[in-house]
Amino acid sequence: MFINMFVSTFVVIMFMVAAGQIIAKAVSKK
Amino acid sequence: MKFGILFAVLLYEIVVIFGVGFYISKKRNKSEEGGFALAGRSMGIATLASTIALTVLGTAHILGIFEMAYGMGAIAIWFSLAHVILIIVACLVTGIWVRRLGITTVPEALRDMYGKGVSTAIACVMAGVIWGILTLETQGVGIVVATMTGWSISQAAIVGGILGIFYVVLAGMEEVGAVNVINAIIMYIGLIIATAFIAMQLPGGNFNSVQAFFDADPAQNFMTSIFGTPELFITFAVGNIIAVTFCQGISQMLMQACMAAKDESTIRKTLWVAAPLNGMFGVFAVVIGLTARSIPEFAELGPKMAATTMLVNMLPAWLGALLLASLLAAILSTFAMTALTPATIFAMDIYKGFFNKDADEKQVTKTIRIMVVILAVIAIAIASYLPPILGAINWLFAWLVPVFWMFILGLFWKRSTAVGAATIIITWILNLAWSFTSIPASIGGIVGSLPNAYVTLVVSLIVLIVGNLIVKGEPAYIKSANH
Repeated sequence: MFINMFVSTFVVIMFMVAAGQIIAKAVSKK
Repeated sequence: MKFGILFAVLLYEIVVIFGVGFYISKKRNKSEEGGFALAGRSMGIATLASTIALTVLGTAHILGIFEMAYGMGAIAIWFSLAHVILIIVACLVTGIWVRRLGITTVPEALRDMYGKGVSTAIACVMAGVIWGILTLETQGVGIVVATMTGWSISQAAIVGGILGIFYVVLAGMEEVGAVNVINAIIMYIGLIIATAFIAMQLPGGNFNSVQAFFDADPAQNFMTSIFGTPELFITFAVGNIIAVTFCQGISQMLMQACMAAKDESTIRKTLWVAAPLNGMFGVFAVVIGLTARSIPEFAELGPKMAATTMLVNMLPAWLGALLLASLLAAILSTFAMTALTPATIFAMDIYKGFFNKDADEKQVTKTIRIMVVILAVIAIAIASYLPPILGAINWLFAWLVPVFWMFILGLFWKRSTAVGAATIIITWILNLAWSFTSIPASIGGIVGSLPNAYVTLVVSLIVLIVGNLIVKGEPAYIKSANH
């Protein structure tokens, strides 16, 4: 249970960070 | 707890805080502008990431998530994920802009956008909100020190509060940053070893028995899902995302750290470290909370005591001490920032803004130091009354939601002093009414149970958008001559 939650939370966090960086870059280019 | 272990914990805090504080205060050029409050705008990725992560990781994270996991299950992780979203918004939007504008306080930017009256009102409320969080952090420090010593929470809050004052008063932001790097490392070492130790003592040497406990009861199946039930998701998960992102996303507490960054690119890169550093803490806290809930002898103690009692009982004394020292350090870092930032607002927006316009760096630093001590001492006195932590956070956070949207819309779309003033007056009155009258109860249903931040978000957006469409106002701040 712990390993599942640890890995899935880490993936979700990194996905959110990457999405944020991509959106911020796209908006600043406009 | 054995005297030797208690002594080791306090010695660790004292050596780190005083050692780093004295070293930095000797090294720094005292006349450098923004040296004390903004670390000379020189913070690199390591210090900035630790400061951003630990500033918004305090009492509510530690004691709150244990309690929430007990009652609601794994959905409590959303309290942590809401802070990840906050850090993303701060590092990519608001934090970048406060650094770009070269300001020292958030109200300074709002003064240029909405005039002195509105910005002073916001300065007073923002300092008050952050100070309110300081009283909760003081309570958290008191609870952790009391667990270690057996003293009363009031006595423990005094000792912890004194440590918290020295965390910041010797060398300001640069000291907070350096101490935070050390404490972030110690915190994760403590958490990882403690979690492994607890797992080893469970049947099978892992957390499968905890999962099996909740799977066995259909009424409690939702406890191990991070999405919980639909109603919990709307009121708790989304409610937290709104409150945390739109309050802390503009609060001086987090923005002052971003203002202290070396440059904008450092803030953007810092996000990769600060987000997981803050967010992963929730996984440990939720698993510890769920484990305590699944073991009957701890579960019967109730949500407030189950997890902490389990930690004290299941861990060897040295590891319990390491974990408590690391949790204490995390709370102290928030204590330090919640004392430093209202003191900075007072020094820059009130003292320098009204009483001594020509104050030099030395006078400003002295004013900040005096205010840190005054604010912390009053917070220690109030913390003895033990205000309820989660209810208070919910109310406090809702105050700054309109300020976030005034900043964003004023920066990129349109701004008007009259609309700005109307927005804060209406939303602040409504926030008070939502907490202290029977209006939510008389509305009832899911709307009546919505947290304050939902209400202030909807109302501030309506007033700002409708107001800006009706009133002529001025163009976006980024298009103005001032900018």
